Amino acid sequence: MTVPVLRVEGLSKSFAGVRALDDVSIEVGSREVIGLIGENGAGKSTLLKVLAGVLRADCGRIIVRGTPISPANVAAAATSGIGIVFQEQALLPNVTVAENILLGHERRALRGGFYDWRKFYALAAKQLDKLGGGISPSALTATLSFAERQLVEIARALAIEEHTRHEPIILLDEPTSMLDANGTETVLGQIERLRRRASIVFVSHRLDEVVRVSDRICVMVDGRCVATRNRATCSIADLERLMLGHKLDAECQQQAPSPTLGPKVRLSVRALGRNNSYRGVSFELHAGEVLGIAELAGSGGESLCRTLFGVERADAGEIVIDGQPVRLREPADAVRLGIGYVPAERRLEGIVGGLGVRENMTLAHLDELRRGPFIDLAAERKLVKSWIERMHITTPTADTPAQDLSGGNQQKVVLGKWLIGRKLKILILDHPFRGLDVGIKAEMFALIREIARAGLGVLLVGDTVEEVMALSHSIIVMKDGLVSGHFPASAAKPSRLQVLERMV
Amino acid sequence: MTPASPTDGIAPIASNDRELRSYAGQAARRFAPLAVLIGLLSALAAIEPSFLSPYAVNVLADESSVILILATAQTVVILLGGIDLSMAAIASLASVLIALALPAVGPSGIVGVLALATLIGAVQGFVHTRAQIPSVIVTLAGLGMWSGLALTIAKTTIPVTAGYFAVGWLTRSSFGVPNSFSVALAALMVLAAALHLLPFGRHVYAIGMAERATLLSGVRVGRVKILGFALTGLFSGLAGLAMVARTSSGSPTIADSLLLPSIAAVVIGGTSITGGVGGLGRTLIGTMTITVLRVGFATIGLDPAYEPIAYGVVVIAAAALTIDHSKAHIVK
Amino acid sequence: MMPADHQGPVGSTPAATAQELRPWTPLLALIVLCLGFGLAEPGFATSENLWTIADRSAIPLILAVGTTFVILQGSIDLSIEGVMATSSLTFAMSVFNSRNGLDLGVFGLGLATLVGAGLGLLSGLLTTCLRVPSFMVTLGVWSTSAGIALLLSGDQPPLIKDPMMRALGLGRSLAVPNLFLVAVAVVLLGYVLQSYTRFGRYSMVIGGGEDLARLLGLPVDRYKVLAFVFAGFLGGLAGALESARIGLGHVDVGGGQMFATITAVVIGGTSLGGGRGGVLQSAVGTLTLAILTDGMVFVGINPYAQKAVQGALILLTALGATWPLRHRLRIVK
Repeated sequence: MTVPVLRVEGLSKSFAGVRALDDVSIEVGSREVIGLIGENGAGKSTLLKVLAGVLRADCGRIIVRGTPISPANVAAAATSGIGIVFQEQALLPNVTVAENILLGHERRALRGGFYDWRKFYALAAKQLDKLGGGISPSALTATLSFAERQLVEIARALAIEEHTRHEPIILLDEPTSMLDANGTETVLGQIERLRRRASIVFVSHRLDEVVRVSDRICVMVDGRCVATRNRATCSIADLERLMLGHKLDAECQQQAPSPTLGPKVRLSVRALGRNNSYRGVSFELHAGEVLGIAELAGSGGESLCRTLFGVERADAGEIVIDGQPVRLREPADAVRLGIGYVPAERRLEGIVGGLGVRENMTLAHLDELRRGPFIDLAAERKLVKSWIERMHITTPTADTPAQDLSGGNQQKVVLGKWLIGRKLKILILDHPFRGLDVGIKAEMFALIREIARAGLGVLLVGDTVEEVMALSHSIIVMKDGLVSGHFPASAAKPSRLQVLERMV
Repeated sequence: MTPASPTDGIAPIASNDRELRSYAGQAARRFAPLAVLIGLLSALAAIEPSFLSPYAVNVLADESSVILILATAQTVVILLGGIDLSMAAIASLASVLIALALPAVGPSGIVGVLALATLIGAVQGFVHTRAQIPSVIVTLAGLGMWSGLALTIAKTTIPVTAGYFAVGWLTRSSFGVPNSFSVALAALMVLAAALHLLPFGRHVYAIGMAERATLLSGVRVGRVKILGFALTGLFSGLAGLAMVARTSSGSPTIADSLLLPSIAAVVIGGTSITGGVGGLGRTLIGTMTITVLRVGFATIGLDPAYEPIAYGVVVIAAAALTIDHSKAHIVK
Repeated sequence: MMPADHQGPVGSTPAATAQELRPWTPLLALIVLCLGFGLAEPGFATSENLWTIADRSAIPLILAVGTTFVILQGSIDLSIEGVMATSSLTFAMSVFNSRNGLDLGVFGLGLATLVGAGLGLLSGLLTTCLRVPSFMVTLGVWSTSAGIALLLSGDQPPLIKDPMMRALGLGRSLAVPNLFLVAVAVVLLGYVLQSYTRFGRYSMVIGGGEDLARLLGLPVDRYKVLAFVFAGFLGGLAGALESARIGLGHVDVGGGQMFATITAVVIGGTSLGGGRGGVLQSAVGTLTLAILTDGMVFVGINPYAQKAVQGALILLTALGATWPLRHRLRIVK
């Protein structure tokens, strides 16, 4: 067996106590296409980012053609032969296509320090031709369509071939997730073209695409590569089963009890749509109901949550709260109407790190803690103390800066921020269990069930199918911006597979 | 499915080195300003003992009042994470208008001018929040507009021909303390109380520390910012008033030289230019330090040219020490 | 499948056509202004007046070129006036002057520009190493260099007696003011740097996406420092030349230039946010501002109102630039 072009040994990476990569080992052969699949948070993107020099691994080795490398940044990784096409566009809009392709490697097109534009464009055109041409190297990048920009990114990765003397290793992070059917076909066609001169690692959540172009498929679960299959010997159903194969927490396995749903409809959404995010979403949320949204990242669930909280504007449809249509211009409007939101990015959007636990927890509802124009500090302290006890928040004092708490306790503070409000009607939870250990997860599960029983309407976007199924009374499945499945509370409970197949 | 940037969510790699530095930074921020002030006073007193006489202290207090007024409101805006470069221009404009209004309509003219100054500030804040233009640019433009307006209205100094009594009391002292200083200090204490006891104060600090999280907690960030800039407008007007009292005249350039010292006063006190950290007590210390520098230089006979040199050095050094590096890894 | 945000082929829709036309607006405005003033006031369109305008815009042109690179990168330089002051005094004291016996001639000019470049280097290093925002650093450098200039000036500003330098500042070659020739040369230099060197292209890159540039491993700090050095270098040149024109070294030689330069750069189409614009655009903006100012004087508007007009122009241009980018979650400080 020939020396693998890329070998990864025992790669591990943790973020703030969460194991994003757990002892991952993979091999990529010459001119081979490896498909990488897994649920949200499985580690696919993290692995690519480590290989491309965006992140540093905590331990493990990356070996390219027998030489270990440890790239400090993307340019260094490119010099070693690894190029990446990011899921989020990493092109500079205000320079030409050619400059983007050759960024950092202009030396060959320079004459005495000055740009030889003709040579520049020629070098860039060479890369673009490998992909079938059609894009002018002198065009301003901002004038290109999304799909065209995707091609420029691939051209940039291909340009590595000129800087090193070997065929490059190209990492593609969800290259088709933002494209329409035509664009997707183009990209898949490009991959077919590329495999004749490069090794490719291809990440996608669309199993049919992965099965179509890959030679081998690696399934990642919870940061580990749990299985590798040859394309010829596996089916999509097999892959789905492998993707779900993580050990289930006891809490997760417990099915949600049958709800006593009040007749009151807290939130009603009709044909809600937002350009480039989601379309035609309609559902009703009753008091006491937990409605779970199952989806893979980028399918529109997160954007939907943010629309309902006033963070993003809907382009179509209606939001009705307690029978009244509402217009949400900013989050403050949503809060006044009794909506709370626990965002996915806890550190950036959930807590104000420098403020203490007490001040964080009362930030959203200071108007309820006033005596005249002043903050009633005594009442505030008392209220916060009782909630800290009730939620079992571990903190040295009530005034400890929130950034000093553990992730799980921070999340409790964020949750407490909303529960503390007397007029809370609807709670939106966006990937609330990300990075939490089993113990905290269990506590939060119990909390959510408790508040639902108390009459709150809860909208939940979960990381995994299990989480959604364990907590939700009714489930909506979203895929690529559309509602692909709806399991209302009154109907029979779906199986995990039934939900998953609508997600992919 | 809005595409984010590949750099989203990548926290700057926290190394021991960085944590140690932020720890030192925190300690420096807390005690250095006071230490610097005391050190400066001691050094000057050693060179010139009369520097600590009651008379000299009185002079210090009086000299510091205008900068104190400016720095007080500037603190709020800097706490929010922005800056107001137009305060001196608004102050000059206010001085011109007051000098014109006093002979014409008497003391009620002052109220009108202060209201106008507040409105100007609020409009700047409104443009900043609504059009999402950085405060540096809005207030830089404001600096031009209000300064130009003042120059158009009054080509040179306008003496106060009548009605001076309305402001003259500021130049006198009560119980040995200059009135101008008492007023400035009182204004500072009122604002400090507001920051501590009103939800507004909480919101200001929260916005400065983490604007996105604060926005997502239902705080009307736009309104808080507009109020902050309205305050700078008001206090600029007050500064103009104080200067009319001091010089019995209004002038379109009267406050020009005070912009940098007032910003320096805030930064030297330990309030971070990135926002969310600091406060009015610190600004008081910073103002006294700046004033001691000014007066001290003159007392020991140093060439007045050294003043701007000292400001420049001190401002940059103080800003560098108090910046929160974890907050913005891209610095423009 | 949700179609992605497509920007169709250019020129196919009214909105796209508007996009195409936008970079040309400042030049069109300049032409319209010239025509307007020419028709309104007969004295305006004489060659005498036009050369006067050219002479008066020479120094602003030089300053605008330097400032452009800093602003393209998304930073700002508020220290121009202090740099000009320091270089003015340095220049006046090194050529044949009334205060000391030095007579360095052209080397005096070189020394002054070196001083400017040194101050620029200071600004650049402070902002990249200490990570202090550029507006703060350059505010401090402005103050410090103004103080140094005051020190150098002493009681009596030094008078320049070198005839060659005075000829450079006041004279004309074939009816074209010498200073304007220098300015044209500087603009050409700036254009070449911007379009044909890494310094220029990377400045665009830094302005368009600095975090991306750093992610890709580009030497961002190096080019940031270079931009400040270049701005300081040209600021030093401008201070020296202005001194040659007025015949003495003076601390106020750069009075009002900071504001005017930023206004000129901005109305020319270079965005204060960075990543958009260029040297030629800034030149157009400078000429526009010069003509506007001259025209206003002709028509009888108060010259003191200039600063107000400039401020309003900065605001309006910023409004025009950022309005389409508004977004609920956009954090602007």
